[in-house]
Amino acid sequence: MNDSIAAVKNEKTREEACGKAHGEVRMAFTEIAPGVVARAKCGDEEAFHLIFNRYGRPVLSFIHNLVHDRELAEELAQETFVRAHRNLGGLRDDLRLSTWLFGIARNVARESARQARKDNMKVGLDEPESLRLESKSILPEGAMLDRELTETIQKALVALDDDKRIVFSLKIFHEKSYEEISAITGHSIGKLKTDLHRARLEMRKRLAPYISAR
Amino acid sequence: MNCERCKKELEDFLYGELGESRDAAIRAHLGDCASCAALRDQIERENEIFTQFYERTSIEPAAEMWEAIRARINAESGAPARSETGAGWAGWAGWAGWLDRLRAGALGRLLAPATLRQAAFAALLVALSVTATTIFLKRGENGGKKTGFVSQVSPTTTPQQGVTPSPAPSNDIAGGGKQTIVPPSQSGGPGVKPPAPPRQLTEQELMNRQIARAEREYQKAVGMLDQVIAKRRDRLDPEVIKQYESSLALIDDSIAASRRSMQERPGDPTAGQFLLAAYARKLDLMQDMAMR
Repeated sequence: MNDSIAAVKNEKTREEACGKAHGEVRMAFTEIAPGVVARAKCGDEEAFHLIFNRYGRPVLSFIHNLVHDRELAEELAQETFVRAHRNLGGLRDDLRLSTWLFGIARNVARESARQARKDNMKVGLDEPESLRLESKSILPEGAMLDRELTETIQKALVALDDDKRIVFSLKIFHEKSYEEISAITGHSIGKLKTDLHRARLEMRKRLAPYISAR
Repeated sequence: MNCERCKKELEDFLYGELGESRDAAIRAHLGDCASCAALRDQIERENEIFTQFYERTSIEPAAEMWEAIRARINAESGAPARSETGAGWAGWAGWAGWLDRLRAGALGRLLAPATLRQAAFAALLVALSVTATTIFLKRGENGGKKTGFVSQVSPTTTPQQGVTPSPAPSNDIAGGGKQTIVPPSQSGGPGVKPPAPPRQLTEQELMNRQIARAEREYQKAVGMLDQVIAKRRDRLDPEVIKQYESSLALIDDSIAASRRSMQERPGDPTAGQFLLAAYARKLDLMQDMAMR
């Protein structure tokens, strides 16, 4: 009984401490509400689940773009969210949660690549798992993309060096600003612009046969 | 502004990374210079292709991933890991359970008549695709006969609940784009193989494309409603926001689960119906939130 009362008291205290976060900060729903982040910081598992629901897909896809192996990407995404949970208290600006998560994801992927090199394993596979498209995979709207083009883009992405691939993925697929990408990668905006431009030129060269103006 | 300068800043212009004055200068130059305007069009085409590539290849985390994360974070904090999703997530039983919780839960409390013009417009965005897709899915369920689908709305077709009946969409499934994708074999040049005859799409592929189109329309509407809600957020009761977010998470879970089911059972048209139903509920919820 005493335990129950203590638990209720603790919960109330937590609500009082964390409840203020609701409605205090305003932002678009495209980022997760800061109130949710504040609740997650206070140990609210449901709130952290909301964060996972919102960012699981982009984080996993980003990592997959970096490592080209779905199974490994899933492991690293899991590690990313576990680390995020562990260090959530250190997140200073709740409004920049996604930038912070991408930064962790990038570090996790980089550590994995480093470890793989140590183990003499090849992370950047010659034939990425992602290129072996399953026949059962769902084909969304095929207005512009066919399987061949998808594979070509995959190969072109793999051919980019790490810095170019990261900035290309964050800018083009995840629509991050230079400022955010700089926060994620630690690179200067000048370097990011140069890398992105070069990445685009390389991609363009490979895609040229597929695109023609009507 | 000259062409050299414009070309240097064009990408940043399209990313929205320029300040107002540079933005205006580029815009003015593009109005006068066909060469730079052509480059802009090319970059826009590429971006559209990359966007579609991302939509196609991005990965939805499996439910098991959350379970694994939860187990690890609970282990770190010393709390026991309770299973919320259980074995039901593996199939439709779990999916239906989420929907039931949704209907009976916070979503029900939040539903109210929708009048906001923007929200209504957002809903209209999806009507066309969803109606056509629903028809198509019904055809699939009934063992719809053959390929070469021409999406004409039958007068006997029942539109999805909450969706305004709309005229038949174009039969050009690939229509609407500004460019053509030409396989290398058809693009000319030395050593060119003769163009392969266009492959007739299977019923399954057509169905998946229709679903994907409807899903994209839903996502557009969701994006619009996001903006509307963001503007009104500071006027909303924090408790309502909390319930809204919980409901949204449930729906997103449902959407993710139905996507997985579609992948596991690609020939089952019911999976697509569930997916679109979940989106319809998300839109309902967001419309309600947007008009508060």
